Amino acid sequence: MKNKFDLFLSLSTELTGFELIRLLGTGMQLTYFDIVCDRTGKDNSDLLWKEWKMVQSKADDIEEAIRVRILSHPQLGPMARNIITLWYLGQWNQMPATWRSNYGSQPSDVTQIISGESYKEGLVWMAIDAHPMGAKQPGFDSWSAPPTQ
Amino acid sequence: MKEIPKEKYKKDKGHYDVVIVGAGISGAMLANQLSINGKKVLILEAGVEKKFTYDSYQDYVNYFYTQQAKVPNSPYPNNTYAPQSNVLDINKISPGEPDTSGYFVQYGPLPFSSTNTRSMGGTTLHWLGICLRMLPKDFNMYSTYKHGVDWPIDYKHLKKYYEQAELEIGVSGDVEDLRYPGTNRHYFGDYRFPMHKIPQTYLDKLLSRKLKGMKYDDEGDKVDIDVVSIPQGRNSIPNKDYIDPRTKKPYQPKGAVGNSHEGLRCEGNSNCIPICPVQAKYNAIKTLNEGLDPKRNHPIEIQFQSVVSSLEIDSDHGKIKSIYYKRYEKEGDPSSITYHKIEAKRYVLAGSAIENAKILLASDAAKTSGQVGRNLMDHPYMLTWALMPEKEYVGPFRGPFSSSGIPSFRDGKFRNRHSAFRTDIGNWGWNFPTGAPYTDVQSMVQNGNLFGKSLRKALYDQVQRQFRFGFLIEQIPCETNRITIDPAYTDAMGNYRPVIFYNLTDYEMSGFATAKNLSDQIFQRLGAAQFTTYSPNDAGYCEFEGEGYTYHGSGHIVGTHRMGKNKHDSVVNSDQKCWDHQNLYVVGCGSMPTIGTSNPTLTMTALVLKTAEALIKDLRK
Repeated sequence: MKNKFDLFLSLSTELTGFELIRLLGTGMQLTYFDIVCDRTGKDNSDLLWKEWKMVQSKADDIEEAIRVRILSHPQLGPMARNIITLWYLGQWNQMPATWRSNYGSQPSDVTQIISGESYKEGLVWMAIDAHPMGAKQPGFDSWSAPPTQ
Repeated sequence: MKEIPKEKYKKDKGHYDVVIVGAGISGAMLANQLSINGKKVLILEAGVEKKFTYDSYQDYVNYFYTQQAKVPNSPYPNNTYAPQSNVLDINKISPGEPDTSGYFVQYGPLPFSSTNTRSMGGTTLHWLGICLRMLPKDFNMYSTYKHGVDWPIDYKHLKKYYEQAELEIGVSGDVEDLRYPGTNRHYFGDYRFPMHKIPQTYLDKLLSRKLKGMKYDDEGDKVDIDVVSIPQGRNSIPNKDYIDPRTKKPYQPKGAVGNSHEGLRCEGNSNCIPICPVQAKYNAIKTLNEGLDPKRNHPIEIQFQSVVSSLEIDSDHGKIKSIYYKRYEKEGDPSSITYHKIEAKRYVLAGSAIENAKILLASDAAKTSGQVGRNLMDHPYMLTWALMPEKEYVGPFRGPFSSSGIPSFRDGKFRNRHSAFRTDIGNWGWNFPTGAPYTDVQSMVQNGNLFGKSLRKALYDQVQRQFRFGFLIEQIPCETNRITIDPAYTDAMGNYRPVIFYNLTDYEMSGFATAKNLSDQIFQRLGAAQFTTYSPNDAGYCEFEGEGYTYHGSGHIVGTHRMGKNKHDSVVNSDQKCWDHQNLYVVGCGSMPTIGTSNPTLTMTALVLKTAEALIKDLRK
């Protein structure tokens, strides 16, 4: 029986392209889950988990289904995109103005970097094979080596 | 806020040899040298009280992580009683209407785009750390090229102070890489830096290989294009043959304040601007900390939250009688402000080219030359950026902001026609021009409709090929580029805000044009796709011969109290002593008559060390 948090995690792995172990390694998963639910509003986020649960169990081509049923959906798409940027940058983008007027606006829905921790745990740095600027220093002379991958 | 009459300012007790305004690098270096020589020194610093602990500095680092716009002053919160400029406040200026969004009141026509920091340590908190000396010809621009002015001293007079500055800051470099443009000579003699150069990045080495043998044709003059390492005030491997004259032992890098084991080497935090988390980059707090040494007869004293507003001048002989300042217990609370004046044997203004000019103007001081506040200069910084060819990954966002550059246009016959410039190779992809990698994520998700593994792959493929150049263009002094004051514009404490008039001339714009052509040719040679765009909506947008260019500030605020040979055309002499007021020294980049193509902090430090010698002699009289 999948609960909402599990659905958030599995959706996050698909949306970010990072394995579950990487997401858990950031330590941000509970914080981000709370932020998504709180800043989009319970009704909206519940709909997203419900839709993802159906896609996950029924779709043949998950990637296509995500595009068709979530990313291009006017209510679900902006939430899903925000989940991506939240994981990648540690930053919450305020929901678009039209979304807020159609589906509700929460007082906590403001653009901001969640915390110093979320900045440092942004997945973008791992994606580009670097490190957060100002943190997780790779060490003296590490920069003279060719890029990996 | 209403000013109280000067008679109501309370005179401080205390008998100092020297009172210095400002705890930035000039103030710190000068105070330290005076204190070593047994002089009693007080520094008045406008910024909030900070402790000399590791945690105190880490507060800045932690604050920085949560700032969305990671601009140079982002770790250093603004203080309404010691306000400072911010890059986010720099806008296009509408003709006839000043831009007052930030601390600076900007009349333009172009925005002055550099910022400084009013806290303990000053702008060395966010500086980049590049430590290049000016070239010998930079001191004689007028005699040699009929542009700009001549300094009252030559490179040879400053050479030993440059060496001392490189020791006090702790500079890593390789003299073999510092050839005089167009020749194979360097001008360092037997001298070697205290530490070996910061290792060059993979990108530097790739560009060095690919540009080898390249020549640029500048209207008939063929200029060799080289890629060389740049000396910087950033800890690296100490040179075991460099014997520190202060300790008589091999040089030891200075680590973080309050945690001397940290910061002994650059660790690749890739964050020099706006803050080095480990303090491998020099900051002036290190020198202030040395000055506190209790073993001295007179360790330096610092009094924070003390904002100097003006000088009291004795009208009989023009000497400074006292410094007027306002002290606040709590930022933003007017009831916590008290009004003071303090006397000393000698006075030093070291508050930056901006604040020094403001204080002199507010005091009606140093009037003979009419040059106070004038000849404001910066290095307009022009960016170009490109993507390496397919699969040519260069490993950006590693290492310091810049470890190498192209020195080829720092000097040459072309200076008869257009500005000299220096080229930085940027190691952080398109971070400066476009806000990469944050903007890459946002646009790939929102517009590119990418997600999952394709997003990851696209980010790697795009960002890993990003690289950029930055061109520091020499600005020539011009009287009408100036800082002034106006009672209509004051801050929360009732002190003047700087009112700035600023423009660029064809001489500089011609330098922009050459730099852009050079950049275009380099990209063509590399097969790199150019993405440089300059928009008329950019704050620093300007046009020349039908082409548009955008410049940024380099953080180099220079020229507002220049030195010279006599009191009629300069504010200070070559010891930075004020011509008009014999017990006043005005120090910092404001004393520089021209800016050359080197980041000015090293020259400023050399000048203040020369001043220290002169001031110590002066006090003995």
